[in-house]
Amino acid sequence: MLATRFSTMFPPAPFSINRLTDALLGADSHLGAARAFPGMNVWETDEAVVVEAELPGFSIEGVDITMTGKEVTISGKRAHTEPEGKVFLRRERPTGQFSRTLRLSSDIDGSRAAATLRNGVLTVTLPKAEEARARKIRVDGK
Amino acid sequence: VNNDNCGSNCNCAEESTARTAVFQPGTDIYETQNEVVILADVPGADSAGIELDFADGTLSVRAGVAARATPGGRMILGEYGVGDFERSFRIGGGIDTARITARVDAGVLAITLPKAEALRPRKIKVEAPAAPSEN
Repeated sequence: MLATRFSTMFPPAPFSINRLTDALLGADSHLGAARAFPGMNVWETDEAVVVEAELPGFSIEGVDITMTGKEVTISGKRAHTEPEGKVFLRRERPTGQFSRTLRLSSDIDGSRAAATLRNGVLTVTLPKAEEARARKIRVDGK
Repeated sequence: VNNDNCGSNCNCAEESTARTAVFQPGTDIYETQNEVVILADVPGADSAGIELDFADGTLSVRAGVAARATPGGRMILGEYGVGDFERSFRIGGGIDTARITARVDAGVLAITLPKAEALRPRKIKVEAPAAPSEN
């Protein structure tokens, strides 16, 4: 099936900025999704939070990632180049500046964060701060 | 040259037999003096996965996207699915279809459709009339 590119596959996460529109329009509505650029998929493991975002046409120099406490902001700019002599017949690709902030549930160790951009897909690995990691607590029996 | 099979956000009723999801890429189309260029956002695709087919006036574009390893754990936000990109464009007359070229860079596919020689702008030399004979 030719699916809509952005879909609400999961119940809105607590920090989803689409939460309000999802609630108003129903989670299956295409109108409630696809507003924010770039689209993001986020996973959480015991050790880290991994953010994947689609940024076609961007170079790593054109993307800024800043971390403060529990917040991570990804921002950047896709140039709107329109040299002389071009006549646009169709224009669907977003241009201009974007900025998205995710508020996470755990503190991030920003010094160990890493990012790669390959074929227009950005992957940011945000290791959790030591004290925020899940750990097993041994229960001593009698 | 610019009309594709459906609008950008439509949900086509056609069902594909492919197992993976297929998405329609966002596309810019622009025209210059000598060519028409289609730019399509195909994040995750590389040149090995690009297929272009031209038949019966339709250019079909497919950008295969290799499955990406997920980091594991729990997905806490899912805003897009990963799958191949597919879109087709009706190509009007005036394009030299034998010379269509494509390249993909940083997840953006650029397809160049050169205009047929006959339709390119050219300067037409205006001949000066022969000097009027004086009488």
